[in-house]
Amino acid sequence: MAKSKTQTPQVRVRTTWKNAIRRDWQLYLLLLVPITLVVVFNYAAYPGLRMAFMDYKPMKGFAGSDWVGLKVFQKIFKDRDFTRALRNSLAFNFLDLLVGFPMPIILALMLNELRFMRFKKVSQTILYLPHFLSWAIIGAVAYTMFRPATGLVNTLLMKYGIISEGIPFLNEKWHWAATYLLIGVWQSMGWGTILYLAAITSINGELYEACIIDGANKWQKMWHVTLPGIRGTIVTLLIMNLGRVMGSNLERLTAFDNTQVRDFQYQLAIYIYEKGMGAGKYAEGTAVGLFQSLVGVVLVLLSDKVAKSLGEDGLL
Amino acid sequence: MKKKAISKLMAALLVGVLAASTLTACGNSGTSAPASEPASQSGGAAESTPAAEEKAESAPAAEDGAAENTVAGIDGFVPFEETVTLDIPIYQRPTPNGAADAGNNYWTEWVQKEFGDKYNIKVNYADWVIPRGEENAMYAQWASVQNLPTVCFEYDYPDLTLYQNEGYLKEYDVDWFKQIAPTYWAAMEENGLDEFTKINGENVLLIGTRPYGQTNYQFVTFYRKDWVEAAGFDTYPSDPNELLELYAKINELGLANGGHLLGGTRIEGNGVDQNYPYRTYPMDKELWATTGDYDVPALPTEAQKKLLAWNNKLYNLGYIDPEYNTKTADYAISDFVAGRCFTYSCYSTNTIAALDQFYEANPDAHLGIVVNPGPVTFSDGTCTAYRPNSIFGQYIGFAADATDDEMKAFAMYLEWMSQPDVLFTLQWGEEGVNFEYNESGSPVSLPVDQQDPEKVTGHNSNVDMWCLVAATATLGDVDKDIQAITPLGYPDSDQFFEDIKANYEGQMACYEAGMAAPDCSFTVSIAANDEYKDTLYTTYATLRDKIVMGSEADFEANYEAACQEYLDAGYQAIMDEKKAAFEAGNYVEQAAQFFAQ
Repeated sequence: MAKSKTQTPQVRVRTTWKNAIRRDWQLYLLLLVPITLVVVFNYAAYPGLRMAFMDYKPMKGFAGSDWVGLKVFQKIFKDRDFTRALRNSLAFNFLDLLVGFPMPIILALMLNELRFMRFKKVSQTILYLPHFLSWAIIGAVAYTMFRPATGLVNTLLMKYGIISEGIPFLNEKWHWAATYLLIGVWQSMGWGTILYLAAITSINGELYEACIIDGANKWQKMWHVTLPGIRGTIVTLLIMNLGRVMGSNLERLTAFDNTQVRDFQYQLAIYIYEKGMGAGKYAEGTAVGLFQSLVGVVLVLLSDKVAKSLGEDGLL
Repeated sequence: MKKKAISKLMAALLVGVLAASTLTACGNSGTSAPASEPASQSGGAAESTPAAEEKAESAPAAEDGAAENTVAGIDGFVPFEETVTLDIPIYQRPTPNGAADAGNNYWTEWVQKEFGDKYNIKVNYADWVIPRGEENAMYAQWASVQNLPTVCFEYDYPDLTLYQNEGYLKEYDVDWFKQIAPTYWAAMEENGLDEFTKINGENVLLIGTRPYGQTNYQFVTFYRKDWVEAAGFDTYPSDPNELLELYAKINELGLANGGHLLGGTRIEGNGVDQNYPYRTYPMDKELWATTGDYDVPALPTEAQKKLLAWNNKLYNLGYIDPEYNTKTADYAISDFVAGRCFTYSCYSTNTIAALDQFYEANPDAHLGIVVNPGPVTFSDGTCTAYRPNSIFGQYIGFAADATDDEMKAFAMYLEWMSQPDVLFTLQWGEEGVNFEYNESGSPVSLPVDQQDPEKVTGHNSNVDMWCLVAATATLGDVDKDIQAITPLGYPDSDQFFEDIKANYEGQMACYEAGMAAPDCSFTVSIAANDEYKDTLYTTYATLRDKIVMGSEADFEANYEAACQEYLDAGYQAIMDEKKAAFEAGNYVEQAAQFFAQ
């Protein structure tokens, strides 16, 4: 049974396209720009997807290359490197989600409680900054800090007798996994708070006043007002993030590359780059990309459905 | 009212600017995919965009924009009626000494003035700059928009077979080429290169020469001579057992300032871990053909196993940096300059930035260059063998979408550049600006910082421009050629000359004794090599580091496990295909001295 919702009486106003455009033509004109961007950079590339079903030779182009049906997919699904890349991508993206998704929410709740505005603004700026650093720079700094023998962190820990030999933060695959994930959280959590902070500001202040009158403390206000107030945003972002669990970031993976962690670092972005760009096998690269996108879409649809069945608004 | 009109105008302007910038970004940028129209101009030359195979069918005809060359060679050159654009790739390399933009500098303008303007040819390097090491990716990107430069070239033969397989290349007619570029072709004939122009039976390659191809003496390893002497040795030992004694003594004396005396940086790509000194000579010919090249490391061979065992020993003795797998090539220089590392390897030139820094930081230090003593086999079975360069310089193929005019313009370009005076100027620059003559009348390059900044030569004296003709510069006399690459103006420069010369002579002796065989070149493409090599580069690096960084006790087990993984990752397929090509006789024969009878 559908959940009953409070209906507010609405006056239906019929607006024709003509009237709407005459009234708001500047806005529609501005809308053209993002629409053009989406069409050009997202949809215009779609015809290129047929490459995944061809024995594509760049110099022959689409017209001269042979159709091979699903042979390219059969080949990549049999490739053990693909299996390894897929396994690692899924594992690390779910872990990223598990570790990284709650952090911006927690951080936004904490920032929201700060009352000394100057400190709050400075904190926010400092938290946003890592988002603007390229992964190449973050990787170089991380190696300088975390090398087992000469890294700054290990040198300090050893100097003060906390450890007797260096921790292989980035040189051993399990340590690497933890370091990789935590650096990812550090890089993205500040920026991720923006949407949540915006959602928090839209919560009706009267709810907090009512809570105070009822004698709620800070934790209770957070639990019973703030969190429910941003629940819709959380669900929307969760669904969008679930759509990305098949993706992987080549720049980030390359920045933390070294031969001792290849077992974990070999993910789909690396696979596509090596087999697609490196070996000139564009058809295979496209096929894997298409596979990633399809799985992503399926996950979004599924999670949207689950969210709706739980009474949330969902994404679509 | 007025305010409203202004806001409307502003909105329209804003949208216009945004839309224009969006569409501009979608356009064909000059760098990634040049939109230069092929110089079809006249004579029915084909357009650049249609499918390449249609054009590849015909060898270039003479009836084009320039009048037919009735006189062979440069004397018969006639300007094209309409401008022909010649698109020539050029490597962009890291330029620590501030060399100019590879695609647009004084010397590219000089080529335009001295060659292009005379024959109505626009020589275009600027749109075809290739970051060194990204050749395959760049050609593939250009091919994907059916817009290749006039020619594709590379130093490695397997790359050209890949390009041929992918349909990038176009056949040419030898007689047509000889008529336009007789000097270039004569050099090919003189060096025996004219026999190797075919891939898969099609005549597609032009090949530059490589003087002194039997050796690789231009690549040198500097070592700390003061450390060797302090350790009680007369000279740098070649015998591995003596080397171990030397290393132990250096460590005992604490000469490496707490560093790992052999340093080490991450390994990647082709040409790594060369196993030539660990092979058995004379070689088994099939083993040479199937596993003997350096393109993809031959992990499952006995020679590679010995090499890895040696590195594993050095690692566990603490001579190799335990963090080497995370360090880039820059560390090799910084460790050497900081006095933490025993050796440093690079190509030798008159000025070497690393040596400048080294002597500045270590004014009392002395360096020597490692010398090959000639053919010697040591008690542990290793020997002084090395990988010689081949006789081949650049392998060049006309692009599938090159028009007849463009092909002709390129043949003219090669012939023009083959003229001794042109080649000399490109290789040395201008007297008093880029070089001076020494007492014996040989040119000596000026340090880059002493050259006119406007006229400074590109990487290694413009090598990436003239490499199409010759891979290295020669003055026709080995002593002069060695002098031309000897680092000058350093405290040990006199010793450097002696060492390089001794190394050259030792290498030549090895070559003549059959201990420096060129790699096997197949005359058919090895598809498995193209398919798997990129994966194998990274797989090899991963596996070899596990082996080298493991304990000596685990070496055998680590090595066996790695071999199987490596074979499964594609190396077995490469060996099988090479074996089939070898058995079918589809390879370039080498002298009998290298092989067991």
